Amino acid sequence: MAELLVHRVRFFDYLPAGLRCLSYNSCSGRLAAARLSGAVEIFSFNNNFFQEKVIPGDDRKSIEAMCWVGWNRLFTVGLTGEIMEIDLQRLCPKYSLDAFGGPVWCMSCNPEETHLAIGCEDGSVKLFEIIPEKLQYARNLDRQKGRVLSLAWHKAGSLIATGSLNVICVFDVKSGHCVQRMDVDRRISSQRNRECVVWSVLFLSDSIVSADSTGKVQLWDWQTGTLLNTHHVTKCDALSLAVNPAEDSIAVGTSEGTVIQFQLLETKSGGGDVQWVRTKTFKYHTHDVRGLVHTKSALVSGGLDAQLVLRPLMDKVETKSYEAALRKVIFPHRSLVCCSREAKLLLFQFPSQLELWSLDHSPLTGAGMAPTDSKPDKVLQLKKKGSDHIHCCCLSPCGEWISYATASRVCVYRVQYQDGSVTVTRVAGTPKQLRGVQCLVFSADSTRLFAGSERSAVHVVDVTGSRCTELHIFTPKSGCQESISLLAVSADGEWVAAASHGGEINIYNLMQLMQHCIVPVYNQPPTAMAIHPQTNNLLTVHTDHQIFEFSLREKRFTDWSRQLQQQGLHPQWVERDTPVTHITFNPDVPTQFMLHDMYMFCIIDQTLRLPTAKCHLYNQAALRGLSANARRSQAHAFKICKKFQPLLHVEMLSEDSLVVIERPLMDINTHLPAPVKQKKFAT
Amino acid sequence: MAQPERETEQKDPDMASESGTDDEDEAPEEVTFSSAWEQASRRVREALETARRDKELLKEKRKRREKLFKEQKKRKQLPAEVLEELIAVPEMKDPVPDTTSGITTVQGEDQEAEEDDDNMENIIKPRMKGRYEAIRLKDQGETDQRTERAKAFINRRLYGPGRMRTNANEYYSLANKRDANKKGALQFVNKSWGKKQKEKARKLRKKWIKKHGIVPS
Repeated sequence: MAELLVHRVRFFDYLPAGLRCLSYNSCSGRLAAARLSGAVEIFSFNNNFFQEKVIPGDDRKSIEAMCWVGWNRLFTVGLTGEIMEIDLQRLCPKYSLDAFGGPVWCMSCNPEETHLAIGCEDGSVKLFEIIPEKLQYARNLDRQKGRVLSLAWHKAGSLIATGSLNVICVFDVKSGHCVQRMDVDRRISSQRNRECVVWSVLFLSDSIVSADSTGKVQLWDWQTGTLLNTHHVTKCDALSLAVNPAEDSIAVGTSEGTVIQFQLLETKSGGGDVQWVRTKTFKYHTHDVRGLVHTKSALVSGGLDAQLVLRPLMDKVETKSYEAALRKVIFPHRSLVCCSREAKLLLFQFPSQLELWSLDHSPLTGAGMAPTDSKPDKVLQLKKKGSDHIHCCCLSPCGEWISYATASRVCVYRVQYQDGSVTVTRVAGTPKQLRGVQCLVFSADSTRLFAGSERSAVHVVDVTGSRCTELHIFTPKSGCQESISLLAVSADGEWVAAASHGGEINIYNLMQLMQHCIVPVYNQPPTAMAIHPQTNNLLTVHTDHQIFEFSLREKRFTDWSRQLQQQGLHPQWVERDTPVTHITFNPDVPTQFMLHDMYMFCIIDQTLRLPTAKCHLYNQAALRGLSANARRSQAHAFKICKKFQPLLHVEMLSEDSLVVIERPLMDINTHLPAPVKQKKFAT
Repeated sequence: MAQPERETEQKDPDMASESGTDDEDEAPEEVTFSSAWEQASRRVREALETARRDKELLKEKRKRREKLFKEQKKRKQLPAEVLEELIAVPEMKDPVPDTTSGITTVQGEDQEAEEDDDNMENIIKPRMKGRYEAIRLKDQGETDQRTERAKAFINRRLYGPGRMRTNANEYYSLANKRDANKKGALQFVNKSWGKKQKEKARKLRKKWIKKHGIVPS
């Protein structure tokens, strides 16, 4: 491959929503992150911090707090006043329950995981009993004046601390009475008469920690109701608090975007006295840090700047290592772009709409490349129906069909281009049982739509007639209950591969309408999957960046894949921190394929030798200066380009041309809510 | 003789009301027991009668009102066939919400009703089949209002007056300004945004050039 013509696309105005709250489940090693849009994302610590699942949001819903119960039950509360359990298999709300206390601000589960306590707008704390598959109202604690904004259980499960306006209360759960009341000092010099909002409370075994809107972190003795210590951490709000399981380290998130760590340290070496000391300040966010989690060895913070930051706290590790490196999640770990190679169209997915853009001026004629000075052409903007957000979408290879799925429906549209005008008609008759669709893909000849839905079922729908007709439903023999995360179809229309959230990949034969085989299960789930158009080999890339090539006909891994596994991937490749989200093939050179993550795209040439651990992985610049012979001897299979960043999508078009979709982070930053003003000297 | 008699007759009621102010000397009129008894019993009867009549009137009033209410209610109610349909459905279906079908939504008639948008006849039937929940619109309004108020509270507390907030341009331009290689504010460095400001700057520059008489080369 000599040269590629690149369409550098920067008109996808993707805007991630700010992170509202985080919740960590130490049993399963999963982190749930709720966004302001109402979407919930599940990250797996065991799988390289991969964004496993996304539960799409809703216009009417907002999430204020989340709580894990047991191994895999997740509850959320929001300003609509409802408690909701999320179905983590079908990725939709399971049921919701009105708390009858107005908007709910906070929620916490007791250590025995039998009761949930919620704090409501009307000043009441309500207890709900957790029973299998359900939640039942138990009782109210004494009602106080003012909304309850934060809440924490004591380790023993007999006391609850609540924070509201100007006051922290301690309740006895058994009697329901308030046993201690602590007034928070509201006065700071600039805002004399403003109420002090207790944004967050923590109940340690011997004290209560509070963070409030005047920027104080205070420690209280809950037995006597006295103030032990005050730390002024910021001039604006201290918003969130988190403590590690050992209770010797506390993290505070502030409005300025800083995260401050306090540690319980001995005041004199050898002496028994311990004190909370402010130790470290991290500044990874530009905006308010509203979600904070402190695990055993890491600090996870989520801000309104829509970034999720994982900061491993390995003080004692001297050397730099992959495990101790900082990680940021900015873009979703799945593709939000669909590309039609033939019609040169791009489909962008937003939460509430789809946008169809043309790379070419006239999609009808489809001849020639768009000149570089021509403006991009927005062909269509399709708004969703209903209040729930779009989960996935797809564009047919011919560019004529668009389909999208929300939690409750699947819609198929036909787009016709005539003399420069575009007409859109909805195709009726999408199958009724098609609910909870996670993944959509059209066949190569654009006649069939494949929809991966709950219980790992793959629906095959014919879209060519005036109405959609369901042709077949594939269900795995293994009886997998998880829904489908990725789908891939072969170019000849014979195979479809479906990967479920558990990591199982099933291959179905479309000619015989039966299951062909299961790809040997790897312990890390796939992040990207594609079937080679010529050889019909299935390529998968997993969360630990391993690449596998599986021959569908022979039902075995190919020789190249075996060789790759034997030799092992280059350490620098394995230690990349963003997952590969898309695989595309070069139609002219069958031995090459291309994959990309957020910071690079890589062309892998299967004819060349594999890089060894000793040689340089990023050797493109070095190769340029060598002679032709030396270059040949030095070249290896991984050709990495980092020129375009940060990447949302890369697709290889025909005629040696490439479309690269970038989203500069500064463009996202300009659309974020207002940050806190920073005083800098002489500016 | 007749005159003074009339006078006494006229004074009689006075005597009853103001017991002897000026007629203290006169002896009380002689009344027979039977007539007095009769008078008293009549008075009692009259009182009873009025009480009964009041009660009856009240009853009648109440009755009338109830009737009115009933009529009003009937007027508000849905047509009989719809009511019958509503009553018939819970018997056929299990009233316990289906947990497998997920959360119940307000706009339950989504799919089928949507497909037959023009077909008015079919609207009632699919309405009964869809997954839906009946809610009182009044409650919904209240919930929405409370949610809005809660949102306004959080907005006020985070972005309200006195919260020391700045805009993105100012925030990100600081670094450019303090850089060793000084650059302009971000809105001018970054081509993709700040269209308004750029337009304004271009106009100002034009004005300035005109004012100072500089001919652009």
